[in-house]
Amino acid sequence: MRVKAILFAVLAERLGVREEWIELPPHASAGDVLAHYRPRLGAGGSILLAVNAEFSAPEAALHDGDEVALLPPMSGGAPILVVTALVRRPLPPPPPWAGGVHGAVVTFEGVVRADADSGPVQALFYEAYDLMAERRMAALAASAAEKWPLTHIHVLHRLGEVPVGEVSVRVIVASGHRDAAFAACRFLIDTLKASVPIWKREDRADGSRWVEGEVPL
Amino acid sequence: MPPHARLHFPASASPRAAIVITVSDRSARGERPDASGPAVAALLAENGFEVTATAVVPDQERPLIEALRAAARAARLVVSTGGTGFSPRDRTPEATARVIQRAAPGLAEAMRAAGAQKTPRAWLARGIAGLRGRSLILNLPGSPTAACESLRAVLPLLPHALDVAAGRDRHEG
Repeated sequence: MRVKAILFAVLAERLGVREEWIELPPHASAGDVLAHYRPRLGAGGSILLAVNAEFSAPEAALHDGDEVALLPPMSGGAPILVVTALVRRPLPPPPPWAGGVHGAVVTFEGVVRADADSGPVQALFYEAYDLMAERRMAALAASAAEKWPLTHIHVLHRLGEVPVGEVSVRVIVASGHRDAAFAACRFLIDTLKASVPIWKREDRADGSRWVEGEVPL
Repeated sequence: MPPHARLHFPASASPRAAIVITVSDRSARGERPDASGPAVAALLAENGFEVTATAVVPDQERPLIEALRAAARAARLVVSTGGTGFSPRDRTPEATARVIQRAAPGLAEAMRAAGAQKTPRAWLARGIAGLRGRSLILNLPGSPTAACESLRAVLPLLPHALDVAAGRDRHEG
């Protein structure tokens, strides 16, 4: 089959191709177009695919005459998806990745642990200045998106009681490159703990106490 | 759903579970407080809803579509605030239109009509409402006052609306 490949911005410049028809075997998928250019593109790069101007998974089937676009990261480094949330229920396990467009995904989970200096903890209780916490979390995600070429940022923080063994905070960062993903995830969890107005109380069998040191800087 | 989405909110079987999504470019950049999300969440909680999550999403169509879909999978009521105006960046109604399966225009009209009693500019709110599966999605305006006024206008209708959407009529309690 013949499909029209279109390349943009840095990709077009690097390959000296902006638009061309390429011949693919029958039953080719969108990912085959990327594979066609991959030797000349080198490894890495957060390249997204679009088929007929819609974002597409690499495994999406192509048809004769389709237009397949290779999209470098959008200008401004805007990530594909930024969501920050305060959650009052147990976090479900994250759904599996599909599509294979990210390359590097780093997930951090903070889990409530039982041991504490003064006896076993049964649960942590989180309280937030929710208006400010939402705003701060969104701002942190936005600044991570400016610093690193990310494709996905998801920050979830539990509020209320979180029993031992449950996830209290989850940060998921995806990028074309593992260095960026690790660095951004580290930045997000460290800055979140230091500057988002969320406080925690340790609940033990013999009483409870507020943990100091997590007030906003 | 774009192939790389991995959004998740905690699912709740409660017929009164709600998720509030603040749509705001300003808010996402953290430049200015956008008080409407927490204000709307508080109003819902006062009226018998269990707000299981509040989220902030930049005012771009794709993140918003994914957030709305993920929220509709997890809660029976999904309320967005912001992104309903005439600015070129206001994309909430467009994103919502791609997520809902059945429109509920009466709810959007009731919210606009209530707002218009205060200011004729309420007619410029482009928010829509509709069902995705058994979940109801409402677009509220971005300002806290307007968002809460709009929500108050339809709050008394929501329990019955959600029950019927779930296939339970009023006789089944």
